This record gives sequence, C-alpha cells and structure tokens, in this order.
Amino acid sequence: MRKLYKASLSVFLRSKNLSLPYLVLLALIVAYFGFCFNNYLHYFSVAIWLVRSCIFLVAFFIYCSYELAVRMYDNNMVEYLKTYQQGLLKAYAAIILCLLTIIALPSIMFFAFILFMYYYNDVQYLPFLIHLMKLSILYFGLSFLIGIMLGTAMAAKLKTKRLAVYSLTVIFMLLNTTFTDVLFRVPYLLFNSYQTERMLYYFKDFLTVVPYQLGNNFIIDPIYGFPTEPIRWILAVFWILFPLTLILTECFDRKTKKAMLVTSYLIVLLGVGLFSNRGSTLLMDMRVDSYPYADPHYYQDRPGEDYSGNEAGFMIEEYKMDLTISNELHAEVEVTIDNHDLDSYDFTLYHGYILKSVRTEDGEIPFARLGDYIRIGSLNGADRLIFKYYGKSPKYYANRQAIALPGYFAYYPKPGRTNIWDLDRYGYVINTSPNESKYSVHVRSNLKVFCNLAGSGNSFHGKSDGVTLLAGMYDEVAKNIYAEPMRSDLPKREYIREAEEILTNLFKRLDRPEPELFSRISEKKFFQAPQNFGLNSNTEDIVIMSDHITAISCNNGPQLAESIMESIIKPQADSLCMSHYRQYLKYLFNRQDETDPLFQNAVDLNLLLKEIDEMQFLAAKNSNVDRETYLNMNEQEKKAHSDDEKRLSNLGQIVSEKAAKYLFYESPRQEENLRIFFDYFTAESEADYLELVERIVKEELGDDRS
Amino acid sequence: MIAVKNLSKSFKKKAALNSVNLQLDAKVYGLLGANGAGKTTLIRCIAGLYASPQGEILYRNEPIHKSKSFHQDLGYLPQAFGMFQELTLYEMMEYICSLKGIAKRKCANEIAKALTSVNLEDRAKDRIKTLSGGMVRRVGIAQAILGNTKVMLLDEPTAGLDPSERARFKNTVSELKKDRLILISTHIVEDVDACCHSVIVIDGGSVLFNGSCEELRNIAKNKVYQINEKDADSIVGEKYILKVCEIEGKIYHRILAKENQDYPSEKPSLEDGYMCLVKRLA
Repeated sequence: MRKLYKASLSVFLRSKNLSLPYLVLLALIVAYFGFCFNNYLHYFSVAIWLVRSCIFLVAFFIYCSYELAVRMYDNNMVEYLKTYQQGLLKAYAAIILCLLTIIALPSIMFFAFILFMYYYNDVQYLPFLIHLMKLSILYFGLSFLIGIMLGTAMAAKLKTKRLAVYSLTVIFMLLNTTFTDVLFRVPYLLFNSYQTERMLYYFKDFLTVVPYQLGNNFIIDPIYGFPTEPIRWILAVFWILFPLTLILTECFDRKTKKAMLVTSYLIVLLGVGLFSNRGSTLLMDMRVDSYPYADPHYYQDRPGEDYSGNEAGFMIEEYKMDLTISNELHAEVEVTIDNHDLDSYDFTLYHGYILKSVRTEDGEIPFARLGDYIRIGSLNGADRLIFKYYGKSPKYYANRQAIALPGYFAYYPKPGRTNIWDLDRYGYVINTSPNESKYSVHVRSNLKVFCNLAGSGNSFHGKSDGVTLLAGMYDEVAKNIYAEPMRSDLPKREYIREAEEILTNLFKRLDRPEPELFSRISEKKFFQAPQNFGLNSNTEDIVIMSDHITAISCNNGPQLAESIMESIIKPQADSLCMSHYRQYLKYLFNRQDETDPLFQNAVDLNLLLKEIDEMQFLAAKNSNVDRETYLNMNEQEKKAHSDDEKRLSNLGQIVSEKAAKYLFYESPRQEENLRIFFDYFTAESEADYLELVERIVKEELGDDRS
Repeated sequence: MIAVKNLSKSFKKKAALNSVNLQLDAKVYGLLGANGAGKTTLIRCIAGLYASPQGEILYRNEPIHKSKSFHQDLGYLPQAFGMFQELTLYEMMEYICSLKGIAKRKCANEIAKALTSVNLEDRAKDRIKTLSGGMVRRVGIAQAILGNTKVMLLDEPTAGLDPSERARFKNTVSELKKDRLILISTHIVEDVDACCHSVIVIDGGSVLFNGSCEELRNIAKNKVYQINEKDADSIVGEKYILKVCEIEGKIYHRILAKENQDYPSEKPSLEDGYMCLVKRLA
C-alpha cells in the first residue's frame, strides 16, 4: 500500500493542474490568517472569518480529488485494474489516502491558527477551547474530507463527464452559501407558500456541510458557538459514508456490489431519517422558520388577545419538572393546583411543544390544544396534573449544544391564558407567574445546567416566579453571576449594586414607591442572556424576576439602571410612546448631550404648541386616509399626502425632542413633570401623550403669563 | 486451463455472445473476428469484468469468480491501455506490482524481467508521457506478464502499431508463449498467422471455428481462385472477391468460390480460410 500511496502522491505533486493550485491555496491560507490576525482579533470574529472561507476549500478539494481520481479513467486504467485482485479498490484506497495527506496540511494549519488565537486572546476557558477543537474537526477536517469523498465519488460515478461534475460542484457550493437563499424564498415571497419554503430549505439544509454559511451575517452567540449539534456530525458522517459506498460499488462485482448498493440506500434512509428528527437547531438565515423570524411570523396572523382580567382562577403551588434535553426538550411536568373545583383549566404552553398527554393520579384526561393554549375540563377533585410533552422553539433552544430557556417563556405550562408575543412592542411577553411557586427541577442533559434555583448536578429546587435554565459555554463568573466567560462585557456585582443605588435614589427623587421586584436586585442571581435574544425582541434586554435577573448586557451601573427602568413601561405602550419614553429616560438619567444644537437656545414654547397643533391636525387628516381613499387619489393628492406624512414624521421627532427638553430640563416644574410622566408611562393610561404635553406647556405658559 | 461453457452476454436487448463454448489450454490463441463480432466482450467475460454473463467460465475447473488463483494468474491488456502520465515507467511498474500483490522483495526482479521481455529496460526512468504509442502497448504487455501470469488476454494488442512495432510484438509473444495461455484478440489475420498455434473465429457473438491455423487454411482448400478480370463472370455459384491485383499489366481477381470451378485453385492463406468462414462459403 505504501508504494500505491507514494505513486498517487507523486501523481498529485507532478500534476501541474493540481500541485500548483494547491501550493497557491496554502499561500492564500497563510495570507488569510495574516488578514484575520490583523483585523479580527476578537475570539469569535476570527473563527467566523475562517469558517466563511470553508466552502471554497471544500470546493477546491472536490476539484483536486476528482481530477486525481479521474486520471485513472482519463488514462484507461480502470479496465485492467479491475482484473487484479481488488485492484481498483486498492487504487481508490491509495488515492483517498493521498488526498487525506493533501487535506491534512490545511486542516492542521487551521487547527494550529485557531489554537494560537485562543492562547493569544488569553481566553482561558476550557469549554471554549473544546468547542474550537470541535469546530476545527467539523469545519476544517470533516468538511474537507467530505470534499475529497464527493470528488472521488463523482470520478467513480460520472467518470470523465467534467461538465456534469463541475456543474454539480458549483451547485453544491452555492447551496452552501446564503446567495441562493432568494431562490428558496421564492415560494413564500411570491406565493406565500410557507410549506414549500420549508420543504426546499429541508433539501438545502441536508446538503449543507458548512452550517455557518458564506454570506451569513448573524452574530454567533457565545453561549452557543458555531452549530456543532449532533446532527452536524451525523450529516458529516453521512456525506463521507454515502460517497464511500458509491465508490465501493465501482470497485466490487456481483454480490458485494449489490450489498454496497443496498448499504448506500440504507445510509441515505438513515441519514434522511436522522435529519428529519434533528430537533432543536439554531437556524439563522432569512427563512420564515429561522430564529429571528419564526415567532414574529407565526404571531403576525395571530394577534395577541386581551387576557388582562382574564384570571386563571387558580395558581400553581408546586412544579415537579423532569426535563430531558437531547436533540430537543422532552418534559414531564407535574403541577399542583391550589383550586381544584373549577369547571375548566387553561394553561399556556408554547405551541412548539407537542403535548402528548395530560394525566392526573387517576389516569389520562382529555385536553384541547389550540396554539399556545391548553384547556382541560374538570379535574374531579384531583389537584395534580402531569403534562408530558416534547418539542422545540426556534429561539429558546434546548439541545445537546446549549440550553436557553428563560423563566418568562412558556416552555413549561403556565397558569391561565397569556400572550407569548406582543406585536405592538415587537417582542416576547414577559410571562412570569403571578405567585411564587415551589419548584423541583431535574434536568437530564450532557451539559452542566445553570438555574436560578438552588441545587447542583442538574437538580434544582426552590421558590420562584419562573425557572431559567442556561447551559452551553456558560459558567458562574462571579458569585451568583452567570455568563459566557469569554465575553468581554462580563457583568459585575458592583454594576448591579450601583444600578440598585441609582434606582433607589431615582424613586426617592420621583417620590414614588420602588417596585417590589426592584428592591434588593443586587442580591438576586444575575444571568447574562444570549446576545441574540435581542435580535427579534424589544422586551428582553433586561427581565427582573422574583429571585433572578436576565439581561443581555451589563456594562455599567447607570446603563443597567436605565435598562431596568425601561423595562417597566407597560406592555400596551406603542412604538411612538416608546420613543417618548426613551427621551424621558435620557433626562431622568441625566444623559442629555448639552453640546447638541437643541441646547443652544431655550425651547420656544409657542412654536412648540403650534407644532403640536400642526401634528395633531396632520395626524387627524392622515387617519382619514385608508387604502381605498389613497388609491382613489389623483397624483397631486397623493403627493400632498406623501408630503404630509413626511412632515408628520419630522414633526414627531422635533416635538418629542423639544417637549422632553423643555418639560424635563428647562421647566421650573421639571421634577413634577418627571413624576407626572413617570405615572403616565407606567400606568395603563389611554391618554394621548401630545395632549398631556400640550396641557402642561399651556399651564406653564399660563403661569408665566400670570 | 480455461473452459468456457454456454457463455452468453447481452447488452440491453442486443446479444453480444451466444452460447460460446471453448476449451483453452497453454497455447497461443488468435481470436479473429470483424469489428463488433464479440471479441472484446468474450475477452472481458473471460477476464471477469462483466458481472453477470450467462453460462460458466472455469479456470482449472473452478468458476473464475470463486478461483483464488485466477486473478493472480491473469494478465490482461485491454484495447485501450494507459497509465499515469506523471509517473516513470519503473514507478508505474512498481504501482502495478503493488496492485497485483507481488511481494516487495520480488518486485525489482519481476519488473526487470517484464521490461526486458518487452525491450523497454532502458526506458525505465522515463516518464510515461514521453513514451510512444507502441512503447505504451509494450508496457501494457509488461504489466500483463508481471507476476509470472499464466493466462494472458490481449485485446487488439497490435491496433495502431506501425509495422516495426508489430514485428516486435510478434517476437515478444513468441518469447512469452512458453507454458502460457495467450489469447490475442485481433482482426488482423497476419498477426495470428505469425504467432498463434490456434485460431478462434467469432462472428455475431458465435464461435464459427476453433482449431489450428492449418485447419482454418484447409477450410478454403479448392475454393480460392486467381482469375483474370475478364473471366470473373464465368465463376459459378456464390463467390467473394478477396482482392484485386495487377500482375504484368493485367488485372486479376482473387476469388473465393463455394463450388469447384474450371480454373486451377490457389493455395489458401489463413485469411482465405477466415473469409471463407465469415462469408459462409465453407
């Protein structure tokens, strides 16, 4: 075999169309490392840039392996090689061995560079190093191996049909980038066919050997890292074994050939079967099913209902949660209900979780499932219910790579009917229990799970209004502070204390009682939530629960305090109101930029009132224009309408800034105004913001005039 | 050595071989037939390259696909033969030795012997791409004899060779034929005449003749006539003009006739015997 290997290697090295591009490739890799080193020193950025180049390398190795293996066909060698005892098999084995040597060098280079960057960045977090090693094996080892297996298999099957081989290679390469996404999106974008899009993406995903594709601009969440879920390894093994069986069918005759064919069919069936049950994976692209779009899309056609006042009629005293996190969440949750005399019980459980059964001590009971809601009839005196379900959420993942299940998300049955998504605020509803329940949680997972409850060994217990589970590249970075250790913006206890102090002083200043949740926040467990939580939601920057806090970032005390303050705005507030609120917070936290031109002169209140009038006039005028009216307008009217809308938009910003500056900065009743507007923003007020501004300004003008 | 029993092979619906029966011993056989007669199919079947032919091919009384020694004893030169152009002749021979499973210590000796027998020992260090077409065919023979093979199947070994290379090939075969079964497929009758003990004539997938060269010649005995062009019409019965030649300014036809003619018959050549068979004039 050594001679065969040596000969194959000699053929490769002496072929100018193989060895020269290979040497150029090695030089380019070194140059690329230099580029990455100079420009993207941050831990994940380097890896992202390296992974981006991966598909080109895979395509290059398809080329190399095809061109090397096809030489046997170009030179009419196969016919006589087949007459030797397993001659063709040995020849292919030698070629594959030679190609393994060829890919070994760039693989080692990538591996070494990643290792170098790890130590250069001084991350010192072993799970991250392990992740990088997995990444190197999967993306810079197995994917290259897939390249050589595909190239060799194409030589074995398509022989000298180069046009077919290179067309397939280009298609394969394009499918491993986001550039072809638009084709896969056509069914949905043009025909609103979500199912067809899903089916096409299924096909695309199956062919994806580089999951973080070229053209993907989504950031990699440090808790999750690059997709290296078990299905990625299974797919990689599939794309190695399947071409291998195709090659072997060429090398054998008769029974063995038939056995190889049967094996290849079985491998396809197994691959497709396992792929179909891949469970929770992180999809970060433009498809409807992906992380950022799935839920906004789902809830777009299912607007939230007003469930306020629609009390559950019962509370859950105790949860016993037995969770198994394999490729997705499998749960058995026992709840103890305080009121067992109701005719029916409503629960909220995210629609991605498939409810298998609901039981009491007496056996299974019927239930009705509609979207996120479960309705159960009378319990006949039973006080315990056992829910058995499994499934996944596109955003709140739970698999063998990472877990991100925040306590405010209905991944376990929550009492009553509550909305999961708030279309107005474009974010998830912070859905915590109205009472603190007793929890006993056991998680079966290959990961070390971090929870707001006390416990160890993935078993937790305690009282809270929600159970948050986080795992992956995640750790306790300081006492009761949990975060991804390699992040540069790690939360610190002093930030939380500072925020707590700022908030206490603010509430004193506002002469309002500090909400119970805000008190003693520095004593609560702090969980840094995955960065991407903010990608499709405006409500999760910071969430304060009875015993813990989850926050996307915590860079300093004032910012954290402001985030906390921002989170208390009532959910029914619309986006315009949010904009006013942010102006309000700017002044409340003394964050105004006094070098801004706005601060060169005092606000002209008469002009402000005029602008408010104009705004109200334009808003009223535009509100009468519905789609039909607009379509019936002539061009001149349409232009006038468009001008009005632009003017209204400009005025909105101007008035918001001026009003905030006057009311919360210039006004002699500045403190009182801060209080009035605090009540306005935090109460469920239906009043119009501009009317309130107008009234106060007029009052103040009246005061001045008097 | 090799027994072919009721061998049939079809490609889709077209029959390439029909119930071929042959007994091949340690001799040199010439497999004669027109293009498309089934020569290559027969050779490939014997070489075990087709997965499912009907019938049986036995090597030393054992089906070839079950025989452990068949592949070791087989040397095969396909019609289209090539090698890695980037390797030297010696490296290529080493490569083939490895594929054939020849022990490492024997390789050098085997290669030297094989190259000497095809007169290429002085080109051992040359790259394959520098060799001429004739040399490549000779390398093909060298690879076939590597490992002291007992059975050599040579498919159109002289196709495309110039006369001197063909002569050299005949010499090579003469040197190799001792204790070997050599089956040479060709449509060039002279090659068979020069170096084969026996001839197998195949046409339309069926064996028409299997015997010695003399026997093949005798088939055309009293059937070959050389007559003046003017007398050509006087031939009685079925006839076939083998060739037209000019002798001392007169045009003569060499004719193959089924019935006895009133002209003196010529001494038949192997080609006459072959034509007699394939034109069904025997």
